[in-house]
Amino acid sequence: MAENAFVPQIDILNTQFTDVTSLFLSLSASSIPPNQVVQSSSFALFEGTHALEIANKHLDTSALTFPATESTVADFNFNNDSPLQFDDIIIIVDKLFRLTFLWLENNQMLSTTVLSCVYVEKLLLNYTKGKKITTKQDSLKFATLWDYQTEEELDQLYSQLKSYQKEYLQLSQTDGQSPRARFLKNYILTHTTFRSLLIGLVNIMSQLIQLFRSGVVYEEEDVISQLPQGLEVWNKMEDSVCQELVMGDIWAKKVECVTEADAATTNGLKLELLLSYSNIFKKMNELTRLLTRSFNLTNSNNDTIGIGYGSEFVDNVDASTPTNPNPTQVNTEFLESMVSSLSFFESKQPEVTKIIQTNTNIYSAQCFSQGIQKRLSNTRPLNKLPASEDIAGMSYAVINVRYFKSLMNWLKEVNYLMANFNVTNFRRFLELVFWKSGSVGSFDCGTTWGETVVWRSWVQLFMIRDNKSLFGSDVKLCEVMLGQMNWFAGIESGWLNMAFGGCQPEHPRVNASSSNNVQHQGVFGIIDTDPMEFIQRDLSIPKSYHGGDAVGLPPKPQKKNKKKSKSKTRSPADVGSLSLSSFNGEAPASIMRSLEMIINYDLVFMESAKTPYYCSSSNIKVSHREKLTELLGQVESTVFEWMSNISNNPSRQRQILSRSIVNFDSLQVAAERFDLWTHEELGIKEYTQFVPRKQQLSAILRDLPPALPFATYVYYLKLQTMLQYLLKGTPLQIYKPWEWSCVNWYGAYFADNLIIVLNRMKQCNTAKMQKLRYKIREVEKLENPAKFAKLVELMKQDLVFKYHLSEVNKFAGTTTTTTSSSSSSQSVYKTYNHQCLEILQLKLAKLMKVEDSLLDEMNYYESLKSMCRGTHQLLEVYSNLGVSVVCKPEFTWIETVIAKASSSSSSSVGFSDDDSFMAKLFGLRFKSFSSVGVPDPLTFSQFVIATTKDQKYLSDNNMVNWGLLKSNFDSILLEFSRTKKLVKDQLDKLEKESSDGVSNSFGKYNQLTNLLKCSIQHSLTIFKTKQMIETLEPESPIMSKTDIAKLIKSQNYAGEIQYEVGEGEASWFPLVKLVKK
Amino acid sequence: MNMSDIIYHPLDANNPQDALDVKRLVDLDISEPYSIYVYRFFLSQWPNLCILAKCEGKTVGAIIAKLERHRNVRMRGYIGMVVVNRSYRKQGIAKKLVNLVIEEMVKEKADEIILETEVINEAAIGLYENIGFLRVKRLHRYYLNQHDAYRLVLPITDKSSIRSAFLPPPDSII
Repeated sequence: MAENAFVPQIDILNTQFTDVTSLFLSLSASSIPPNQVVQSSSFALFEGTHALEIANKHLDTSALTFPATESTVADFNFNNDSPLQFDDIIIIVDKLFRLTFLWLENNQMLSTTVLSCVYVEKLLLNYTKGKKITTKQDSLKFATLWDYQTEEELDQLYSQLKSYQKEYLQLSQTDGQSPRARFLKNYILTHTTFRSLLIGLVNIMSQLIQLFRSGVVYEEEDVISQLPQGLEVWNKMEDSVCQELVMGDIWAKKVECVTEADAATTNGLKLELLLSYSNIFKKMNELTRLLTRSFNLTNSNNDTIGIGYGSEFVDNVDASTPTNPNPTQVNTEFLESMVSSLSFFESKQPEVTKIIQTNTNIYSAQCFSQGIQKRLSNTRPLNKLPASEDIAGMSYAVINVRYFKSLMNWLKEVNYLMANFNVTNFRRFLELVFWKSGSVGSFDCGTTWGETVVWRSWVQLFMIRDNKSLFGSDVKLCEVMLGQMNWFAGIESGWLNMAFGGCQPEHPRVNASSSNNVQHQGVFGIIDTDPMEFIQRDLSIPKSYHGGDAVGLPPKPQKKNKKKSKSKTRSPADVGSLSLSSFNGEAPASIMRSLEMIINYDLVFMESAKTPYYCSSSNIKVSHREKLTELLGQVESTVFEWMSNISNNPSRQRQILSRSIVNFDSLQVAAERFDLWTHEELGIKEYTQFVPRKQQLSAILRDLPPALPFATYVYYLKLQTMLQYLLKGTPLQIYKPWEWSCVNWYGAYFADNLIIVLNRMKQCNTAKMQKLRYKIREVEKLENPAKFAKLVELMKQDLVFKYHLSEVNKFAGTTTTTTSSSSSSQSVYKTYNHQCLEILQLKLAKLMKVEDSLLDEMNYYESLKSMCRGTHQLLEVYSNLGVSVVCKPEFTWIETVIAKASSSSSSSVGFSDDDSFMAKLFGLRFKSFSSVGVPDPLTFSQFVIATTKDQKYLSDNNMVNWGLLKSNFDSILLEFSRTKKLVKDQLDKLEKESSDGVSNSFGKYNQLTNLLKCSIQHSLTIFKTKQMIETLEPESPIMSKTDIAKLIKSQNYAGEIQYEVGEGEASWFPLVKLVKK
Repeated sequence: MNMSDIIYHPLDANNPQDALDVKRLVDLDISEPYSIYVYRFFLSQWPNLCILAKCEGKTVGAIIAKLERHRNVRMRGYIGMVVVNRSYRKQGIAKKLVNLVIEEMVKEKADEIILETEVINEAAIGLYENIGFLRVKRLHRYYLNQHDAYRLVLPITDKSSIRSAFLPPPDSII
């Protein structure tokens, strides 16, 4: 058929369609020659590329023929003629269990794994058909036996099924058992125990399919969760599944009683194996149930989740645990139980293997087939069943470690963080999941988190809920981001007061608030009443602390001596518990608020600015709030995409990071605009430097750069993302070894910028600390009422302050016109003065903790920078030594092709570094950074210049100074030693904190330990290489690169790469060794 | 047989046998199953970028490629399949086919040329990387056999170093 023969213009909604299939087949089809396709401009040929070709043996499963035995296999489903023994059940369930994980692990189809078992196929088919039993035959296959528990009931069943007894009795005629016993044994095993286990297994499969269908992982790329046509997924049957499994257990135990005459020990083991399977299948339900549980992150107590489902049917479930609607801990009992059952299988593997090897019943072997691919599905090409070695390779040890132990450890880490939830700890959690420890998670089980599709999809859904909350708590993603920013840049910031003090009431969280007073509603409900509350909550302590039960928290403050309980003896964590209640026990909230506003009032700038500048929620206009809300919406979407990246596989994660760079870049621009707006328009003047009151502020402030807290923090996140994107390419083996030099050079650049931005944050923090110290001194001076009155008079120039002061004074029985000469007013001021000092000192302590965090961060990036610098230098040395594995290749052929095609000779290759093909490769390699405003993208010329500058052993005419080259190893060693020292210092600090009773995340230990090991390995390797180089005896102290390469080769030295250096950051720095071949 | 016995020419649209030969070769030697529609998609639209290697009239190798505008901002070439009969391997036929198709694409103003290859196919990766292709992405379980793939890109012009979203559309180029 000619192209464009028919171009339909169809109005779908108003067209009456006619089925022309038969006409097409009878007339047109006959005129189309074989291997031709119908073409038309109304459809693109590309669409056809996804089609399955009929009769193509590679693609069309319906065209397949199976061996004669296949029809037998297909028919036997729960065949009464072939009742199953304990051994058969163990063999089938064992294989099915492994196949389930092979489905997940190897991205196999369901048809080639779990559904390749004809029993499973039949079970799911019957469920899909009517989800109920309709015929007598089905009744035999799938009858539920709830009513047959007593001996009398069994007699009744035996009688009812008499017509089927014959087949059962044919088996084991000589085993000495009564016909009734034999019948019950076979019937119960085949139709109840086995069936219940299959239901449990299908339930797991169904739950996982639903997990994958939630849209956080990619179909086909991460997992193939499509069921063959004609089958439906098990839906919300968890409770009944547990009931089925419990009944299966009961009946399995009855079988053991019935077969008491058999070898009790063997059967005892087999029963234990079956019960262990049953236990795993029962407990698995808990995993998906956790996804609907909400956790309380803000009011910690020691409550744990109650399992709360059908516990009357399930063993080992603590039914006494109260169901807490908002627990603060995940109950990991179900995982511990599964780990225990799998460990049991691990220990009994020899016995299970023996059962499999000695079993002669053909049914358990033949019940796995490719048949379902032909019978039910024609949407995918035919696939082979997994090889027996692949099935055997999916051992219980592998399953246990990769799926259950790792998840259990992760949840323990979550519990630690939940118990100690605050901004600092949550930050640690983010690091653990998203950033520094992308693949860390082994702890004691030697595997990585994030590798399995179950972990990736489950963790994201568990952590980030549909409403963008964390763990279903009242904490939203955006709040975490802002909380983080607050921690780094916003504490004691007027910006934060503004941000959290005002927002338009349309925001859902604001609407959720009970208060209608917009003035005191926080942006996302973080602060329902007052800006101070949020700041306090950063370090708020769990309620359990007051009960003295929480692990790892500082001891409860002693209040015996009131003087000792003042600021100097309190931990910064006490800020959250501090209130002004001592001012007056009956003070209403509004008065408390006014007091806090007074305390937060910036004494320094107030005195100099002369005009009201303190921006509180009370003087923010609606338009300002709208501006803020719009910006925070952008924050939310950026952060959501960034954080939900956890569900992606490592390859896609890197691609999403690339996209996040653009998002953060846009956000940074918006944030900077907003920061400047608050600075210029709202008058929230924050600087990176503290200026004493007595200096000429107005003159100095004009020259000081504004602090830009929001933009600075977004920039920090962007740089993190850029560095992560860059270095994660190494373990994915996206870079060839010759590229590692420029990758690490670029990495050092990002690390350096991170240090600069952290230093800037530190400067801001120091300025705030200096300001606080200044304030403290000022307040201390105010012990003298006359001085205080003078200051208050000064403060009154600000209307906002005046308002709050008048409120406080009114409450204290004074008036705004009353001066400090009033005795009652003096009393008020005195009390206020003490409170003020206490709070200021606690704030100072908090800022010191922020400084500590910033120093930790700087140390971390210093250590990464040294790793990158060392690696860059080392690879350049290797390259100059002629170590081929890292030598830069030449691409003369393509350079010529491009040059020929170029119409302009000026763009031909070789004129400058940035015109060369190598520069094109450099540009392509770092394309993701090309669109970023800051930091400046680096060019190939810069790389060449920087590298040349480092190579002091290389002369202008490319000759190598042998002595300088050898000594260059010392400077490389210094870089790695520096990393070693920085990481070691951090570990020592953690150790010390630990010995001081501070509980630390063990993930952090893991991360640092990995990095430490990595730096040690690199140091050792370089040391050995240096020794090898020193043994060489060059003919001349100055040699050409070619001669050096010859010398290296003559000694049979060659480069060797070791990728498996470690997890986390360690995987970013593979070892390049010089070895003797 | 020596290399001079091998004749390279683009697909002859008037010779149905050429298309059948290509399909037969690919079906035999490439693990990924392709339907007739895949071949038709490439061969009908870019016959000049389907080059055959013939030895004494027998098709012993083929390359299938396309060249089209990507996101309306750059010309992107794509190498879909390269196959050489097992008996004729290790003689540079694949390299020659790739070189010919690259030259053709560069002539037709390609800004970049991309392809995917299995991470375990060291021979193919070596062939492309020696030409100048760079790995830019790893694609998780890209193939039906569950193997990951690398996306390789050969930059021809500077456009390949700029994100699509930041490239001006052709209309705005003066």
